[in-house]
Amino acid sequence: MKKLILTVSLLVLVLVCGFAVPNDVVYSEGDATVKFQEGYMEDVYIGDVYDTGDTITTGYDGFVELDQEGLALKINPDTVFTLQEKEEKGETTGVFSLALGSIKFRYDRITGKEPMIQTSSCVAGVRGTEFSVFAGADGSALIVVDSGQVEVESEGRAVQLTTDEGVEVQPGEPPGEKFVVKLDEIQYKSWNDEKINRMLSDPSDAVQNILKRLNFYIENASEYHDLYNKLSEKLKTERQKMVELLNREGEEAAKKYDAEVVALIRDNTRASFLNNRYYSLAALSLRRYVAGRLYILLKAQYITKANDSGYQHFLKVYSDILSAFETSIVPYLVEADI
Amino acid sequence: MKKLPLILLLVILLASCASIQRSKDEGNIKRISELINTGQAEKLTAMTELPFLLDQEIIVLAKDVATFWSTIIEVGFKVEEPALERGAKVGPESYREFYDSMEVETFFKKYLKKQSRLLELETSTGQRILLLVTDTLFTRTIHGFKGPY
Repeated sequence: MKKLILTVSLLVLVLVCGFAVPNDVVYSEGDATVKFQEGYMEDVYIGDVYDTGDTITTGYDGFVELDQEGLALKINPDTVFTLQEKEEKGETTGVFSLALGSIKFRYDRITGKEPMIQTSSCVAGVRGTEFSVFAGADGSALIVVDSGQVEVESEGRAVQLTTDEGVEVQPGEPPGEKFVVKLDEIQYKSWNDEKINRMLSDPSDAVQNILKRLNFYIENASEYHDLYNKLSEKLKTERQKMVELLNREGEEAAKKYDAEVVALIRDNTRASFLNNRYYSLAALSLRRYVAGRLYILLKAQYITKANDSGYQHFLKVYSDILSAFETSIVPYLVEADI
Repeated sequence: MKKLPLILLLVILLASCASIQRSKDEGNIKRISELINTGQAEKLTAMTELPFLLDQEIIVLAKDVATFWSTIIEVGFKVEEPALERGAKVGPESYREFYDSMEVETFFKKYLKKQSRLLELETSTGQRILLLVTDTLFTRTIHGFKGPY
């Protein structure tokens, strides 16, 4: 029943508030697929338009360019990228969620309402016009600015980057020290290979960081879910009051009550639902593209020596991740998310 | 009394269907084991459909599937003398044999085909492996791998 309510709410939300600005595919080559919010998948074609909840995945030879009214996004090979949204300071903000791979962003103009950019380890606020975001296999992120400014935030600490500056963020940690770098000096493959090697050399540390980040998402998803329940109840009560007012004092009084009281609660209810979904889907992305991939790598490497103590320790922490995810995030997901 | 030959015919027919199915299942585990044992990661990758289930993990990226098959071959994993323990059509509760979670249940419901089969094999060392396979007239597809356990 709870799932049914979530599914219905999700559909209503999609109908009521799609992504503010559609993303048109202006170019596509090689292996590139899209998984729509409704759960089905198809190849990416030039001319397609994508909205909130849609995930684009490029293979080793895939490349997609999206256009979003003044913003060009170049999605490089081996990338997983989702269009999301979140409620921030009373407004719905678009979120570009990069689970894996790299994307180059180029803005023609900055309006102050640019979507946030989220990886498994940080959130970047856009003030600049040209920059790239790299998301590594271990959940870490690298942000490099070509021109303008970008603010990178993680674990309560923010770093401002300007032209030719970059910063790395490890999952569950604040941003590192910023450094001077040119975008053409960064090769995603070698940067990512280095992350994979480090992760494999100390899987226990890597899995602990993932668990820490997962707990952050769980905490937020749960907080917004409680708020959503509270506000839903309040909304029901206030709507009832509005009906009583309508019967007692007429339409004018009811409309006034709706505008002054009910509308605000309705907006806040919607916002808390949206943010619960945002954190739940961020957790799913972390589980699928960071934790899951680490599991696959280690499972394959240790398939002939499963009793190795390091591997067993990894499995123990990994099972904590699985059970935390199943208990605390799965109730907020729907089948279409899988 | 008149019905007896018909019943007998039905029984024989059913028995032969079951034995055809068993030999298909045996053929599938033999072929997949052979590909692993002879180091043919590319063929295994080509035979694997996305998304692919590895234990409790849903793999959605083609390169992860390729990495899985090539790595297990590189580290010397072999399926010694595989014997079919059982083969069954995938049912509503089969997901529990892989892992009891909403994700795996959804994977079974959403991504497997009506004729997909769950095959359990035992190796000469006593280890077991679960495979999810769909075998049609012209294609053999691997959807899942669990084990060895």
